[in-house]
Amino acid sequence: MTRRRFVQNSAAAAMAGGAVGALSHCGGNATSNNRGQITFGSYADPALDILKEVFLPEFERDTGIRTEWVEADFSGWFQKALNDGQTRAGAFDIYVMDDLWVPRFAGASYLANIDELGFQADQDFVPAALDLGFWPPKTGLRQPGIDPKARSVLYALPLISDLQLLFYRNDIYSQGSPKTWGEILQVARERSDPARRQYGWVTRGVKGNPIVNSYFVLLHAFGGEMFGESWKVVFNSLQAVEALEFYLSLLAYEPPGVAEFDSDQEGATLLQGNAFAATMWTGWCGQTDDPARSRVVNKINFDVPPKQVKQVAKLGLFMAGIAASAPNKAGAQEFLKWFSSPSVQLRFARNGGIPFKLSAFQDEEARKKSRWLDAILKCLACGVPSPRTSDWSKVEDILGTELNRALLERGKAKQHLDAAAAEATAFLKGAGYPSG
Amino acid sequence: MDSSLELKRPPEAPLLRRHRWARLLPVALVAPTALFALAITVLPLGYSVVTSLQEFRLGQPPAFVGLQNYQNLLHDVNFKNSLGTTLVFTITATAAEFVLGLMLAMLLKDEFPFQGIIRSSLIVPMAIAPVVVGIIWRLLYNADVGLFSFAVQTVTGKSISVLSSATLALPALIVVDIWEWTPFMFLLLLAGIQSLPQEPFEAARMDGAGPWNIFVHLTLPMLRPVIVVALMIRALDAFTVFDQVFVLTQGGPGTATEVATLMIYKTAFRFSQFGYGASMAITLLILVMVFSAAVTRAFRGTV
Amino acid sequence: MPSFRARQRLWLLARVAMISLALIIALLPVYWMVNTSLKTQVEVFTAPPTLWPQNPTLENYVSLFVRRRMGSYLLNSIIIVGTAVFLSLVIGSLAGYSMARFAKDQAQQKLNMWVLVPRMIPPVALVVPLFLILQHLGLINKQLGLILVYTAFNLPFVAWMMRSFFKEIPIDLEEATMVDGASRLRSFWDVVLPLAAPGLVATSIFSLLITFNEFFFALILTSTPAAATLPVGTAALIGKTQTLYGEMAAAGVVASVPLVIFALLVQRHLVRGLTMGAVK
Repeated sequence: MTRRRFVQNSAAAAMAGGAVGALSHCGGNATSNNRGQITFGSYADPALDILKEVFLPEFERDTGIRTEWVEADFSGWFQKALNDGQTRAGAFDIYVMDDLWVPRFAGASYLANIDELGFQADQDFVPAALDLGFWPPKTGLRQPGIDPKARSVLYALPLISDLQLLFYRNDIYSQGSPKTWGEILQVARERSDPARRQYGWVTRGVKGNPIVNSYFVLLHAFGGEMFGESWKVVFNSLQAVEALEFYLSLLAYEPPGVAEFDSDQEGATLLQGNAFAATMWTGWCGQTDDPARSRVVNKINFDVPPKQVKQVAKLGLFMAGIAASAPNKAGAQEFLKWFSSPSVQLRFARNGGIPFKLSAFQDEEARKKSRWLDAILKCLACGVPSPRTSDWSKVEDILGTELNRALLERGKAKQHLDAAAAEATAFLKGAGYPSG
Repeated sequence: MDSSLELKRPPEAPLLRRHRWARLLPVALVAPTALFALAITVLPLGYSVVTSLQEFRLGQPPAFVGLQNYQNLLHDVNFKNSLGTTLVFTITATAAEFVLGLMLAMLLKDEFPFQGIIRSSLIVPMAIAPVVVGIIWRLLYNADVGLFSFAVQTVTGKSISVLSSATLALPALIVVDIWEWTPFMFLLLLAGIQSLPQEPFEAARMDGAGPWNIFVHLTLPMLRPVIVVALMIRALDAFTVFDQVFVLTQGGPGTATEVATLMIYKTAFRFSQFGYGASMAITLLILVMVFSAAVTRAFRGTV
Repeated sequence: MPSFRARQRLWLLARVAMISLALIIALLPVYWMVNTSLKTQVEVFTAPPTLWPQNPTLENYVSLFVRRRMGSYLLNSIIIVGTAVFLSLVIGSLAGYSMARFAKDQAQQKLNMWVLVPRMIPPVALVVPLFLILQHLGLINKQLGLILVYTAFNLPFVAWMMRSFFKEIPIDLEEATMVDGASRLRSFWDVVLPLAAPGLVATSIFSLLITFNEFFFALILTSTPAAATLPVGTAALIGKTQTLYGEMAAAGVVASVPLVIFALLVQRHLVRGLTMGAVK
């Protein structure tokens, strides 16, 4: 092939590509019968599948508003959403957010005030779920720079009630869910068999967010907390150290590679039938009975995580907020109203989705089909979210690195927690938090 | 024309002496490239520099803080460590890729059966999206279900967890990089070798020089321009490695694989410290520029 | 002392062994990717790992195109990257030629150095300002926007690579043709380009590969399947709580097919160019 032919060929290929491209756009983007369009931006998660595939088309049929769902990976979407908010680009109408992002987005005014748009929240919302959409937070500490007396405004509605609950094998725990952490340890000790890949527990060990979320449940169960009065760092308190030591004691009964596990490997271990129990996100609930994904069909039951001093679950809800620069605020508003209406929530729950309204949780038919709904409702009642401050990511990273180190060493809980607390305190002080 | 077949440094003036306007030709040819590339980078870079002089707090407009961020960087142990990790990664990976790539290029430069398929196959690692490379290697390295762990276990009986070992994690990442980018070196050096004129080699062979001598004293020197470019470009890319580290280890275990770009990304985007993150990025850039200047200077006159 | 024949044979054997080893190392993870793409999720995490799916399924591929709009992403990638690489090859080669031939004075050398700067900047530092610039020009989420950015980032690379290949070609050859009355352009087209063909092929392969798999800028500068590329679509398979390994592997396969085909088609040019004998 001479160079002339090569150039000709590539030019032809480019033109052909361009022609096909032009053709493929024809007939696609005709404006709809007028009610406009709303664009969702989101990360991917199995918990959103039903919403995307069944309910968005239904919304389009009911209201005539077209929907476009744009997905990116979790960090990528965070970046894009931040960017969109910061530059007011207006590429999205609705941001699907992790509840952890609400302080950041609401605080920087990237979200529209839902109250002002005329939305009325009713009593049917599970309180714990709805509360996460308020900024400044209704209860608890407010970060420096936020007026402690400012009224809480609603900036986001819950979308999916995602949280960490206990998944356990009903054939191993034949007498019902483990009620205390001691029970988990005991069963692990008695029945683990690493040679046959049978582990009493599995968790996430990757540094940062994964391990902190895993540790979070234990921390609170043992009576500890992340922050005390005036944002004092207390995750190195006696209870916290105790919680970490318990976390480390379980390691003997966990898969050896746990330090590199993220939630997908944690879930995979459980679904392969290799672990007796774990605290995992609700996105996994529907998969436990799917033979294409699970070897333990019908063998998994759900409950609130066990008790030590307290009984807590960790909240990690998906929230939906309207972008401050949204091109179609009215349409977005309509979606929120539609999706949170009792009838739609009911059908959502009946189709396997995770609702956020009490009436949907209590529906008999939904509970029969999705046997985890009961546990999730209970978890919502005793759930704790991540600390409501935009600086939590950095503190989480610091804590997560030290927790990961403790995991690798399988010990030295106090030293690592103290080191993390020291670094976190220094950072917070530099960021304007009271040094108390 | 005298068929001077020895490689001599060509006088370039004769080509220029032809026309008056030809003096502009060099600039005219390079200018679009330089201008276009710089426009896309210098302006945004300026913005970044300005950002690095500011501090961002939630709900408030950015505040000008001068060189505060850079001063904080000097005391930031984590960032300095990440620079060290990046340097180790870059030098090890680039050197290994160069050696292996050169070996492959020498092995495959002559005609042999199926050469098309073989060469194309060797390029495939480079063709796969870095994110997917990360995911697949994550699966391969997985302590429980990974092929490698399984193989090690079958041979030695002990299970090995590469990605959760503070000592093995960085080498593991370097291995992934070598796997992915040796084809780059291979291809580049192969093309370079194939472009070399034949006569000097024939002459040397007729003079009785052995293959090793030919390689060291003829091939390598003649390949020097290509070698420098290859090393430079690969090193620059290795300095800014991101995807694989992000997917495979997130910087862990501990901070064993926390490379500079990961720190910058987390600081700017996860912690929303745009100013501090920008100052890290600028610092990295300065270091990289110093490095490239040093390399170019070392090879000046021979390139 | 082994005979010459025997040594030759030994050397051949060694060569074959080393090449085979290289092939195995290069292709094993690729095989694993294909393997994984045909597995159901439950099998991906089965221990011990299976070398071939027990229940092979095309579900991952189907899901990619039906649920995840990979078709649009693939098309965008081909158009955007093809155009950008083509443009940068043309403009960049000319720059590379100039840098190779006319780099005597200091100013010229400085210019050459600056050409490489874009490659040194971590993309993280450029992403937000670039977004603002393109937004200003109305090119966000448009194919043209990404084409411009990719061309700009490829130019330095192409220029430097082609420069080194052009430098390998002795200047006597061009002078020879020009003495015979040909213009510089003719000499470039007839003599220099063919000799630099291996270099051009190598450069085009790299440019294509690297640009095709570029993620950062595509992520920020595009938002919908109207302009988003394959890497963005592929990364979206990394969810908040899970990664869909099977689909991701399938996406990897789909994304690498065009590149491998291209490489197969052009690699035959990676051969020695015309020998100097032909010029005389």
